[in-house]
Amino acid sequence: MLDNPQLEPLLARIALQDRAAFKALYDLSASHLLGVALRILRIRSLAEEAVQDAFVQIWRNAKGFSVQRAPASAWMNSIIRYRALDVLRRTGREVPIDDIGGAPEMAMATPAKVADIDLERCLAGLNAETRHCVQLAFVEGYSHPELARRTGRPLGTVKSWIRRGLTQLKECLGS
Amino acid sequence: MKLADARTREALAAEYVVGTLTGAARARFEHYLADSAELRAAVAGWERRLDGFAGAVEPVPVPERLWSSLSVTLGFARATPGATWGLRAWVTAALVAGIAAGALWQPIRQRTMFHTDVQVAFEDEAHHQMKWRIEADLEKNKLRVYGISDVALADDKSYELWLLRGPGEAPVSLGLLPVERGKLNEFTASLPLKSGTAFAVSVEPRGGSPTHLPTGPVIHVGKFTA
Repeated sequence: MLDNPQLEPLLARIALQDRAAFKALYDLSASHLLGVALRILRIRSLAEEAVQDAFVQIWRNAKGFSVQRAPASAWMNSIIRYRALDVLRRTGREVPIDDIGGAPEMAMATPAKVADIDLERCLAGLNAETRHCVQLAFVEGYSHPELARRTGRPLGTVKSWIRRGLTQLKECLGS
Repeated sequence: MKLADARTREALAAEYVVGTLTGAARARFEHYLADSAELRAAVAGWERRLDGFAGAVEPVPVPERLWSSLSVTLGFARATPGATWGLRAWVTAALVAGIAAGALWQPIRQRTMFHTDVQVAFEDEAHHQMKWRIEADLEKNKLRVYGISDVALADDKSYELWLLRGPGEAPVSLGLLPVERGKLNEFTASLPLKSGTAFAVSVEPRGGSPTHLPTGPVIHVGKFTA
């Protein structure tokens, strides 16, 4: 969890090209970013590539970080996720399909532990299949077609689940 | 894409952050993002709302060489020469070691709109038993690998599939091979596939090579032939 209070002041110094601050930020956060990237990419070399891309972006765009707009964790987690999604779309994904001609996998993984009480409460208010799709998409980078394949539902159905699920989340979170 | 509408902005921003906005639509959205403070605020809102999902991630130790590589990329340090001396030797050896015989198989019933242009069936040379069949759709640049029989492999290892390029060029990882009979893995190649493209399989630590290059023994080298 990227909740170290040092992150924000370090980012401020990185914006001024402070290399020691950048190394300190790296030491505090790289293993977390690698964890996030691995959940999307699964393949180690690709996840490491995404982490490197993310830190390059952090170095170059630290002046664009503003604690008023977002906490450091949201800013950095977004960067690593977008870089991982870029690598994913560029290199494709291994899609294990369980059985040739067999039924698509319907078992739902246990819900991800969510480190935000409000988000957790609002996720619990979603229909189980919708919540599962939102989780697979955000945490593991599943695309709409991959969600359709995984759940065995039509593409249009998963698209509208995601859309409606996110709308419901926003209403519930009230912000 | 009508962005003046707040609901549309929110819906697109949400899907952008979640990652389900893809391809050309995602690229267009990024273009709009650059020009619209309102859109950027919408995106920041969703990033903040959903950030809790990242909270339960287990940190994974990062190898030392990642910092070294990053330092070089950012110009903090100079590259150390000789880091990839082994690569050229590996690629040459792999190609020389043998383009194994690939038998063409009967196409199986297609499950989805995957058009099979070339097929190669190959065996694990150590065990001399047909293990995998690869089908390539050259137009979509995708590959499918079917496990023909169960593969015995230590728990801490994976078989990784590589696309081979020219001499001296690094092979490109496609992904991991299935180890169970009946399992199918599908990959999109990041390089154009054509008849005659060579590939190789190596034994790697579980999850694949920790570097961008093969680190383990090569168990098979083959070519796609139409």
